[in-house]
Amino acid sequence: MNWKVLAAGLVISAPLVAILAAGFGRDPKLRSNALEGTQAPMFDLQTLDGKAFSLEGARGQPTVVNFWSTWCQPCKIEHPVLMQAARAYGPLGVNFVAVLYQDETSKARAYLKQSGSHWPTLEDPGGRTAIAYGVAGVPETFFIDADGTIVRKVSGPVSQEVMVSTLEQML
Amino acid sequence: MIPVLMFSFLVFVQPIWALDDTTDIVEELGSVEMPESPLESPPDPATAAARTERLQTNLRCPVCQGLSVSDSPSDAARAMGDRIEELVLEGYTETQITNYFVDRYGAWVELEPPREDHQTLFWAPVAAVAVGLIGIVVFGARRREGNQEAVHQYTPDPSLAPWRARIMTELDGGP
Repeated sequence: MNWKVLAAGLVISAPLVAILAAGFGRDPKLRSNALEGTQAPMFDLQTLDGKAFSLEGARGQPTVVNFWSTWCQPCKIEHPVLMQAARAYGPLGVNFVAVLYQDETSKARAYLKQSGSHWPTLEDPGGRTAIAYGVAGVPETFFIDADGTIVRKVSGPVSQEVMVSTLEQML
Repeated sequence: MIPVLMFSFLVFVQPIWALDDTTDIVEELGSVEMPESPLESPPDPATAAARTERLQTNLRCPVCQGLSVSDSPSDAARAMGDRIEELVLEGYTETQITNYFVDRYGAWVELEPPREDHQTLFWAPVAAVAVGLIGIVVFGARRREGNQEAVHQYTPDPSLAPWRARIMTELDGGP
């Protein structure tokens, strides 16, 4: 065996393999969960009914913030999970709030009238709140603890298991 | 009296087209907290336009494939572009605004993210190969030079000295 050739090959290939191996651990196209562990951006928005809502007012209790829209099919799949969770955990002190993402309020009103909801749905003019939360698609759900810290961000519909386990941790 | 009433009507009653467009009214009712205050005072319109354009060109539309905010026709990109413009007009610096979006969407939101240290290591093997090739070329050139010198350094065989002397004599025009 030519040890010199082997050593030269290792010198060249080992750093490449190390860099590629390090790259397996991170996908640059993955939506960032960088906000997890940070303070949730506080917002003051208006509900579809015209009432004022302030996230600051919900501080002291766990809060689930769900970004959704009527044109999003996964949001409709997620809706029953939110309904059940709000029924079960609302009386235990968990706040549920939905933020409408790039949708028409009339469509949202019609959908909620048909499907029901146990939480306020907020308008997000200009999408500023969605941007502040780094929303890149719907549904996205943020679990905020009583101190106002985002403990978990879920991209895509939240399953019942994830919803229950996360809320149990927060309570 | 009638002109005064008409004037008052025009000033205080919104026209029907303004009532249809409720966006501005709603926008005043929504606000979201920023992590920090703007570092500068609001820039002049020309500076603001240039900063906005640069940021909209350098930041990626979060729902598109490889398109900048300015290149994308999507609603998400339009909202992001408007937000960039708002922040610029409020006096946020380009670095502040870029960091704001990176903190939310990750480094991917920059079309050309800054190079990280470990990525520089990627060039180490390439540099090693380049240095090796240069070494081979230099070493090979020296070796060839040495061979040529060896060819030129001819040491005559002593046994051939008489013959050599005779040839040289004949060449010099001797008897």
